[in-house]
Amino acid sequence: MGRLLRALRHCIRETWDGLWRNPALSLLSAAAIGISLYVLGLFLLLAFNLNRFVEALGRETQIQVYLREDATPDQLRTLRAEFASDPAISEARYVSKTDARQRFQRDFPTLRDLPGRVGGNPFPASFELEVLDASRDPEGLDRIAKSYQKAPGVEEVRYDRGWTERLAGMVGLVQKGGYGIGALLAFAALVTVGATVRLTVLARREEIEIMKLVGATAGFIRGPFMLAAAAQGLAGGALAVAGLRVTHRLVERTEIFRANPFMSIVAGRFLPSDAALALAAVGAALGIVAAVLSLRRAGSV
Amino acid sequence: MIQFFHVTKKYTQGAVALTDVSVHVEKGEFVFLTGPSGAGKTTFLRMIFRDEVPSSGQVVVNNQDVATMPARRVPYLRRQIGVVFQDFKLLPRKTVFENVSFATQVIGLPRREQRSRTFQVLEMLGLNHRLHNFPEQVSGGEQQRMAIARALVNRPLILLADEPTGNLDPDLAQEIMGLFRDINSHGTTVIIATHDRDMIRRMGRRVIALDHGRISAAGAA
Repeated sequence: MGRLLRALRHCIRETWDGLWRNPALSLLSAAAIGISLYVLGLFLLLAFNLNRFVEALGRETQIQVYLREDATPDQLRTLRAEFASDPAISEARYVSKTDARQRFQRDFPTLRDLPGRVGGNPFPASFELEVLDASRDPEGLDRIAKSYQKAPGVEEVRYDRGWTERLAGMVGLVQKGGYGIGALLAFAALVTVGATVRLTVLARREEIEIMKLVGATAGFIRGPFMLAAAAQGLAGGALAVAGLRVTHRLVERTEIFRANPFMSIVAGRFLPSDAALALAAVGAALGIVAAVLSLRRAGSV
Repeated sequence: MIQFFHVTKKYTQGAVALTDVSVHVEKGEFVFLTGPSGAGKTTFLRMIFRDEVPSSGQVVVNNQDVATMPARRVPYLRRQIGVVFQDFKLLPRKTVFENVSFATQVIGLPRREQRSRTFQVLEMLGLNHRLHNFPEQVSGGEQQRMAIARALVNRPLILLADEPTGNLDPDLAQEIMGLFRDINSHGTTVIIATHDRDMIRRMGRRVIALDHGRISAAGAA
């Protein structure tokens, strides 16, 4: 136990000395990891906010059952009864032609004269169906829509799935793009950190050779290099998170952000704390991987 | 303690360092390894602490087959062997004290033990007035003694020295040899590679003579 503790203390002391022996190199490693994680984080932030938006949209998904102009009160009653007995539907609200027109005039005040100008009331009456959570997936919505498509008195059944799905697709694309660019930059960071580890090893090769000759274990020699790289990675990750926070704050304060509701969709919230922590941890992991690869390539260490 | 069975060492470029060498060195023996430059003396020594592995044959050190030993066991083999290198291999940015205590630190001795052993061995080698000097501030003979101190500080079972008196004046060389004899008298097996024939004659110990990688003669001087 004492031996292990001594080895650990030695490792930490050597790591600390190593980090300060060449501060510029240490900073370069941390910056390389920091930049790659910062860019990855930007994409994650965007995807996280868009995802939240898509989820919120999904929760509001309704099915609109538009009625024919000539639908009879009997047909309406039958439909109402069918909705009530459908286990996937939690609520069915009737929206009369008048309600529909009023709603239009309320939502689009600048166009409030439009219905009058086209003559009469062009808005059809409809049922708005609230769907239970369990059936809110694309297949569930599709099944409900199909089952009422051909019902007597029904003109058309619609729901806003298409738009939601397109948006979800876009979020997926943003995420994939982020991962792709992040991976590319992470690779660049690996190369940079690996090169600095190799430089440090080269600068100390005499000492390492003697350590090996007097019986130092590989772990004893490699430990400080790996711990230093992990510390640089962690620092890089923390820098990236701090940079993202600052960027997010600055964006929030701009006029464009306040004036444009779209901005709050793409950047309304900062990353949740576990994601931010994960980003810092990824930094540390990148550092260790770079050190392991580099030490393995250095071979004789 | 050390056994070579039909050991041959060929390098990839085709050079042959040792050919069919079979030798036994008993525990507590004092042996000179001699021969002209390029005879294979350094390769012979390096095989003992597995800085080289044989191309064929077997090297057994303290009942362990050195060539087939897994890499993770090598550090523990080396802790049983003190090596004095021909070029000393001292660290220029560490003091005399640090160069020697370094070896104790590497094997994980407690701090107090590291210090007491280092002081002890430096005193034995007459370097206790040089503790805080750097290698370039001490003489060649003192550097030599630093290298010996580092080889001894972990109390090895085996001490190997490659041309330890090569660049010393005769008096100092004699003094260093006396030191090796003392160390040997405490039970440490000592193998010294040298081409100093006078020295070998004066010491009157067992000699293994190598020539072009083959054993050319063996026996007492």
